[in-house]
Amino acid sequence: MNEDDLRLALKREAAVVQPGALPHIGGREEYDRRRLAGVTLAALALGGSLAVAAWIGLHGYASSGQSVGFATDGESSSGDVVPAGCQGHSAAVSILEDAYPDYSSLEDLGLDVASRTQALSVDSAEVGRITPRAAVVILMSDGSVVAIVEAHPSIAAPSRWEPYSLQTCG
Amino acid sequence: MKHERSSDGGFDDYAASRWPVLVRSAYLLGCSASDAEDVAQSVLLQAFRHWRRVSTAISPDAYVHRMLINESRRHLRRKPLGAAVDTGPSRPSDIDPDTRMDVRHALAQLPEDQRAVLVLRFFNDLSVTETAAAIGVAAGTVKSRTSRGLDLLRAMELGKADSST
Repeated sequence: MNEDDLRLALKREAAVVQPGALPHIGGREEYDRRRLAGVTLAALALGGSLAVAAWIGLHGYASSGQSVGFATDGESSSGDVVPAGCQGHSAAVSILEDAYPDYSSLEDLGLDVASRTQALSVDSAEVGRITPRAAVVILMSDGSVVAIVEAHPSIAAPSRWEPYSLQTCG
Repeated sequence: MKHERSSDGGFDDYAASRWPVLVRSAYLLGCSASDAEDVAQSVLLQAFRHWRRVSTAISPDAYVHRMLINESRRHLRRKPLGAAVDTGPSRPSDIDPDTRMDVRHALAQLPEDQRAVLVLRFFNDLSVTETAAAIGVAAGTVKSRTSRGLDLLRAMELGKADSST
Protein backbone atom coordinates (compact mmCIF):
# COMPACT_ATOMS: atom_id res chain seq x y z
CA MET A 1 0.00 0.00 0.00
CA ASN A 2 1.39 3.35 -0.94
CA GLU A 3 0.22 6.81 0.04
CA ASP A 4 -2.08 7.17 -2.95
CA ASP A 5 -3.71 3.82 -2.24
CA LEU A 6 -4.35 4.84 1.33
CA ARG A 7 -5.68 8.25 0.31
CA LEU A 8 -8.15 6.64 -2.06
CA ALA A 9 -9.16 3.96 0.42
CA LEU A 10 -9.77 6.49 3.18
CA LYS A 11 -11.91 8.67 0.98
CA ARG A 12 -13.93 5.68 -0.16
CA GLU A 13 -14.40 4.51 3.41
CA ALA A 14 -15.37 7.95 4.68
CA ALA A 15 -17.88 8.38 1.88
CA VAL A 16 -19.92 5.63 3.51
CA VAL A 17 -20.85 8.13 6.22
CA GLN A 18 -23.49 10.61 5.18
CA PRO A 19 -23.55 13.28 7.89
CA GLY A 20 -26.92 14.63 8.83
CA ALA A 21 -27.74 18.22 8.24
CA LEU A 22 -26.05 20.68 10.51
CA PRO A 23 -27.22 20.87 13.21
CA HIS A 24 -28.20 17.30 13.84
CA ILE A 25 -31.86 17.55 14.64
CA GLY A 26 -34.70 15.44 13.52
CA GLY A 27 -37.36 17.60 12.04
CA ARG A 28 -39.53 20.27 13.55
CA GLU A 29 -41.35 18.05 16.01
CA GLU A 30 -38.14 16.62 17.37
CA TYR A 31 -36.65 20.08 17.43
CA ASP A 32 -39.53 21.44 19.50
CA ARG A 33 -39.32 18.56 21.92
CA ARG A 34 -35.62 19.06 22.39
CA ARG A 35 -36.00 22.79 22.66
CA LEU A 36 -38.55 22.43 25.42
CA ALA A 37 -36.27 20.06 27.28
CA GLY A 38 -33.28 22.27 26.62
CA VAL A 39 -34.86 25.46 27.88
CA THR A 40 -36.08 23.74 31.00
CA LEU A 41 -32.71 22.19 31.72
CA ALA A 42 -30.96 25.46 31.10
CA ALA A 43 -33.25 27.21 33.54
CA LEU A 44 -32.58 24.51 36.10
CA ALA A 45 -28.86 24.85 35.63
CA LEU A 46 -29.15 28.56 36.20
CA GLY A 47 -30.60 27.98 39.62
CA GLY A 48 -34.31 27.93 39.02
CA SER A 49 -36.58 25.58 40.87
CA LEU A 50 -38.11 22.77 38.92
CA ALA A 51 -41.47 24.53 38.82
CA VAL A 52 -39.97 27.76 37.59
CA ALA A 53 -37.80 25.96 35.15
CA ALA A 54 -40.74 24.05 33.81
CA TRP A 55 -42.67 27.27 33.48
CA ILE A 56 -39.83 28.87 31.63
CA GLY A 57 -39.56 25.91 29.36
CA LEU A 58 -43.25 25.68 28.69
CA HIS A 59 -43.69 29.39 28.33
CA GLY A 60 -40.76 29.66 26.02
CA TYR A 61 -42.05 26.73 24.07
CA ALA A 62 -45.57 28.05 23.84
CA SER A 63 -44.47 31.53 23.00
CA SER A 64 -42.22 30.71 20.15
CA GLY A 65 -42.59 33.31 17.51
CA GLN A 66 -43.35 36.20 19.82
CA SER A 67 -41.71 38.10 22.62
CA VAL A 68 -41.59 36.03 25.74
CA GLY A 69 -40.89 36.66 29.36
CA PHE A 70 -38.46 34.69 31.43
CA ALA A 71 -39.07 34.39 35.13
CA THR A 72 -35.98 33.86 37.18
CA ASP A 73 -37.05 34.78 40.69
CA GLY A 74 -39.53 32.02 41.29
CA GLU A 75 -42.36 34.47 41.87
CA SER A 76 -43.07 36.43 38.83
CA SER A 77 -44.10 35.04 35.57
CA SER A 78 -43.33 38.22 33.77
CA GLY A 79 -39.55 38.23 34.08
CA ASP A 80 -37.57 40.01 31.50
CA VAL A 81 -39.30 40.71 28.30
CA VAL A 82 -36.92 40.58 25.47
CA PRO A 83 -38.05 42.64 22.56
CA ALA A 84 -37.17 41.59 19.07
CA GLY A 85 -33.84 43.06 18.12
CA CYS A 86 -32.55 43.15 21.67
CA GLN A 87 -28.94 42.20 21.94
CA GLY A 88 -28.50 38.79 23.46
CA HIS A 89 -25.72 39.95 25.71
CA SER A 90 -27.72 42.37 27.81
CA ALA A 91 -30.64 39.99 27.98
CA ALA A 92 -28.45 37.15 29.16
CA VAL A 93 -26.68 39.31 31.70
CA SER A 94 -29.98 40.53 33.05
CA ILE A 95 -31.29 37.04 33.49
CA LEU A 96 -28.11 35.79 35.08
CA GLU A 97 -27.96 38.68 37.49
CA ASP A 98 -31.53 37.91 38.49
CA ALA A 99 -30.66 34.29 38.95
CA TYR A 100 -27.61 35.04 41.05
CA PRO A 101 -28.36 38.19 43.04
CA ASP A 102 -25.73 37.38 45.66
CA TYR A 103 -22.90 37.64 43.25
CA SER A 104 -21.33 40.97 42.61
CA SER A 105 -20.33 40.11 39.11
CA LEU A 106 -20.84 37.39 36.63
CA GLU A 107 -17.13 36.74 36.64
CA ASP A 108 -17.51 35.50 40.20
CA LEU A 109 -19.55 32.71 38.77
CA GLY A 110 -16.98 31.93 36.20
CA LEU A 111 -19.46 32.91 33.58
CA ASP A 112 -18.05 34.26 30.43
CA VAL A 113 -21.11 35.80 28.99
CA ALA A 114 -19.76 38.63 26.97
CA SER A 115 -17.63 36.72 24.55
CA ARG A 116 -20.45 34.35 23.83
CA THR A 117 -23.27 36.71 23.43
CA GLN A 118 -22.23 40.21 22.55
CA ALA A 119 -22.21 39.48 18.88
CA LEU A 120 -25.56 37.76 18.92
CA SER A 121 -28.88 39.27 18.28
CA VAL A 122 -32.29 37.93 18.90
CA ASP A 123 -32.83 36.70 15.42
CA SER A 124 -29.44 35.15 15.00
CA ALA A 125 -28.83 31.45 15.18
CA GLU A 126 -25.91 29.53 16.50
CA VAL A 127 -24.84 25.97 16.31
CA GLY A 128 -24.56 24.65 19.79
CA ARG A 129 -25.01 21.79 22.09
CA ILE A 130 -25.64 21.45 25.75
CA THR A 131 -22.69 19.80 27.37
CA PRO A 132 -22.10 18.90 31.00
CA ARG A 133 -20.37 22.20 31.52
CA ALA A 134 -22.47 24.51 29.52
CA ALA A 135 -25.86 25.92 30.12
CA VAL A 136 -27.77 27.51 27.35
CA VAL A 137 -29.93 30.53 27.81
CA ILE A 138 -32.49 30.61 25.13
CA LEU A 139 -34.49 33.70 24.56
CA MET A 140 -37.06 33.57 21.89
CA SER A 141 -38.71 36.49 20.34
CA ASP A 142 -38.81 34.98 16.92
CA GLY A 143 -37.97 31.42 17.72
CA SER A 144 -34.25 31.97 17.73
CA VAL A 145 -31.44 31.23 20.07
CA VAL A 146 -29.68 34.30 21.31
CA ALA A 147 -27.26 33.32 23.97
CA ILE A 148 -24.90 30.53 24.69
CA VAL A 149 -23.51 30.78 28.17
CA GLU A 150 -20.77 28.67 29.53
CA ALA A 151 -21.33 27.76 33.14
CA HIS A 152 -18.71 27.18 35.75
CA PRO A 153 -18.36 23.50 36.68
CA SER A 154 -19.43 24.33 40.20
CA ILE A 155 -22.88 25.14 38.99
CA ALA A 156 -24.99 22.10 39.46
CA ALA A 157 -25.81 20.44 36.23
CA PRO A 158 -27.51 17.21 35.35
CA SER A 159 -25.03 14.40 35.13
CA ARG A 160 -25.82 13.87 31.55
CA TRP A 161 -27.35 16.46 29.32
CA GLU A 162 -29.18 15.33 26.32
CA PRO A 163 -27.36 16.47 23.24
CA TYR A 164 -29.26 19.43 22.02
CA SER A 165 -28.68 21.21 18.81
CA LEU A 166 -29.56 24.81 18.45
CA GLN A 167 -30.77 26.35 15.31
CA THR A 168 -33.05 29.09 14.28
CA CYS A 169 -36.68 28.26 13.75
CA GLY A 170 -37.11 30.79 11.03
CA MET B 1 -31.27 41.67 11.29
CA LYS B 2 -27.80 40.87 10.21
CA HIS B 3 -26.12 37.90 11.77
CA GLU B 4 -23.14 39.61 13.29
CA ARG B 5 -21.04 36.54 13.84
CA SER B 6 -20.99 35.86 10.15
CA SER B 7 -19.43 39.23 9.59
CA ASP B 8 -17.13 38.57 12.50
CA GLY B 9 -15.09 35.95 10.75
CA GLY B 10 -17.56 33.66 9.03
CA PHE B 11 -18.09 30.98 11.63
CA ASP B 12 -21.33 29.87 10.02
CA ASP B 13 -19.75 29.39 6.65
CA TYR B 14 -16.81 27.60 8.15
CA ALA B 15 -19.04 25.26 10.16
CA ALA B 16 -21.23 24.45 7.19
CA SER B 17 -18.30 23.75 4.92
CA ARG B 18 -16.32 21.64 7.39
CA TRP B 19 -19.15 19.70 8.99
CA PRO B 20 -19.06 16.67 6.66
CA VAL B 21 -15.28 16.44 6.76
CA LEU B 22 -15.18 16.65 10.53
CA VAL B 23 -17.81 13.94 10.91
CA ARG B 24 -16.02 11.65 8.48
CA SER B 25 -12.66 12.29 10.09
CA ALA B 26 -14.04 11.35 13.50
CA TYR B 27 -15.47 8.23 11.91
CA LEU B 28 -12.08 7.25 10.50
CA LEU B 29 -10.51 7.92 13.86
CA GLY B 30 -12.69 5.21 15.32
CA CYS B 31 -16.01 6.75 16.34
CA SER B 32 -19.27 5.21 15.22
CA ALA B 33 -21.14 7.20 12.59
CA SER B 34 -23.54 8.69 15.13
CA ASP B 35 -20.82 9.35 17.68
CA ALA B 36 -18.80 11.02 14.96
CA GLU B 37 -21.58 13.57 14.56
CA ASP B 38 -21.54 14.25 18.29
CA VAL B 39 -17.79 14.66 18.26
CA ALA B 40 -17.93 16.99 15.27
CA GLN B 41 -20.63 19.08 16.95
CA SER B 42 -18.56 19.38 20.09
CA VAL B 43 -15.61 20.47 18.02
CA LEU B 44 -17.63 23.11 16.23
CA LEU B 45 -18.94 24.38 19.53
CA GLN B 46 -15.37 24.67 20.81
CA ALA B 47 -14.41 26.45 17.61
CA PHE B 48 -17.35 28.80 18.07
CA ARG B 49 -16.27 29.60 21.60
CA HIS B 50 -12.73 30.36 20.49
CA TRP B 51 -13.59 31.59 17.04
CA ARG B 52 -11.48 34.70 17.16
CA ARG B 53 -8.41 32.65 17.98
CA VAL B 54 -9.31 29.92 15.51
CA SER B 55 -10.06 32.24 12.63
CA THR B 56 -6.85 34.16 13.06
CA ALA B 57 -4.68 31.09 13.37
CA ILE B 58 -2.12 30.47 10.64
CA SER B 59 -4.08 27.38 9.69
CA PRO B 60 -7.61 27.37 11.10
CA ASP B 61 -8.07 23.86 9.77
CA ALA B 62 -5.05 22.60 11.66
CA TYR B 63 -6.39 24.25 14.79
CA VAL B 64 -9.81 22.68 14.38
CA HIS B 65 -8.36 19.30 13.53
CA ARG B 66 -6.36 19.43 16.70
CA MET B 67 -9.63 19.92 18.55
CA LEU B 68 -11.06 17.00 16.62
CA ILE B 69 -8.21 14.67 17.47
CA ASN B 70 -8.46 15.58 21.14
CA GLU B 71 -12.24 15.32 21.24
CA SER B 72 -12.21 11.98 19.44
CA ARG B 73 -9.59 10.72 21.84
CA ARG B 74 -11.64 11.85 24.82
CA HIS B 75 -14.73 10.28 23.34
CA LEU B 76 -13.06 6.95 22.65
CA ARG B 77 -11.54 6.83 26.11
CA ARG B 78 -14.95 7.26 27.64
CA LYS B 79 -16.06 4.08 25.92
CA PRO B 80 -16.16 0.89 27.96
CA LEU B 81 -12.99 -1.13 27.96
CA GLY B 82 -12.78 -3.31 24.91
CA ALA B 83 -14.97 -1.03 22.88
CA ALA B 84 -12.50 1.77 22.48
CA VAL B 85 -12.62 1.94 18.74
CA ASP B 86 -15.75 1.32 16.77
CA THR B 87 -14.97 -0.55 13.62
CA GLY B 88 -18.36 -2.09 13.20
CA PRO B 89 -18.85 -5.53 11.77
CA SER B 90 -16.67 -6.27 8.77
CA ARG B 91 -18.75 -6.80 5.67
CA PRO B 92 -17.71 -7.66 2.14
CA SER B 93 -18.57 -4.10 1.14
CA ASP B 94 -16.04 -2.81 3.70
CA ILE B 95 -13.18 -4.33 1.78
CA ASP B 96 -11.47 -1.76 -0.36
CA PRO B 97 -11.20 -3.07 -3.93
CA ASP B 98 -7.63 -1.86 -4.40
CA THR B 99 -6.04 -2.57 -1.06
CA ARG B 100 -8.32 -5.56 -0.35
CA MET B 101 -8.50 -4.37 3.23
CA ASP B 102 -11.18 -3.11 5.57
CA VAL B 103 -9.35 0.15 5.90
CA ARG B 104 -11.15 1.38 8.96
CA HIS B 105 -10.61 -1.89 10.75
CA ALA B 106 -6.94 -1.77 9.80
CA LEU B 107 -6.64 1.81 11.05
CA ALA B 108 -8.13 0.75 14.35
CA GLN B 109 -5.25 -1.68 14.82
CA LEU B 110 -2.72 1.14 14.64
CA PRO B 111 -1.47 3.06 17.63
CA GLU B 112 -3.59 6.14 18.22
CA ASP B 113 -0.91 8.62 17.22
CA GLN B 114 -0.18 6.89 13.93
CA ARG B 115 -3.86 6.59 13.10
CA ALA B 116 -4.33 10.31 13.66
CA VAL B 117 -1.41 11.21 11.45
CA LEU B 118 -2.60 9.00 8.60
CA VAL B 119 -6.14 10.38 8.76
CA LEU B 120 -4.95 13.98 8.83
CA ARG B 121 -2.46 13.54 6.04
CA PHE B 122 -4.30 11.25 3.66
CA PHE B 123 -7.96 11.94 4.33
CA ASN B 124 -7.82 15.59 5.34
CA ASP B 125 -4.94 16.25 2.97
CA LEU B 126 -3.03 18.29 5.49
CA SER B 127 0.62 18.87 4.75
CA VAL B 128 3.32 17.55 7.04
CA THR B 129 3.64 21.01 8.55
CA GLU B 130 -0.10 21.38 9.07
CA THR B 131 -0.35 17.91 10.53
CA ALA B 132 2.49 18.70 12.89
CA ALA B 133 0.69 21.85 13.98
CA ALA B 134 -2.57 19.97 14.41
CA ILE B 135 -1.05 17.30 16.59
CA GLY B 136 1.47 19.49 18.32
CA VAL B 137 4.59 17.59 17.36
CA ALA B 138 7.60 18.23 15.14
CA ALA B 139 7.42 17.67 11.41
CA GLY B 140 9.96 14.89 11.73
CA THR B 141 7.68 13.08 14.14
CA VAL B 142 4.83 13.31 11.65
CA LYS B 143 7.05 11.80 8.98
CA SER B 144 8.17 8.93 11.18
CA ARG B 145 4.63 8.19 12.36
CA THR B 146 3.45 8.24 8.77
CA SER B 147 6.17 5.85 7.77
CA ARG B 148 5.52 3.48 10.65
CA GLY B 149 1.78 3.60 10.11
CA LEU B 150 2.11 2.80 6.44
CA ASP B 151 4.50 -0.02 7.24
CA LEU B 152 1.99 -1.54 9.62
CA LEU B 153 -0.79 -1.24 7.08
CA ARG B 154 1.40 -2.89 4.47
CA ALA B 155 2.16 -5.68 6.88
CA MET B 156 -1.54 -6.18 7.48
CA GLU B 157 -2.14 -6.12 3.75
CA LEU B 158 0.50 -8.76 3.22
CA GLY B 159 -0.94 -10.81 6.03
CA LYS B 160 -4.33 -10.71 4.36
CA ALA B 161 -2.83 -11.70 1.06
CA ASP B 162 -0.95 -14.59 2.67
CA SER B 163 -3.99 -15.88 4.50
CA SER B 164 -6.13 -15.75 1.39
CA THR B 165 -3.72 -17.83 -0.69
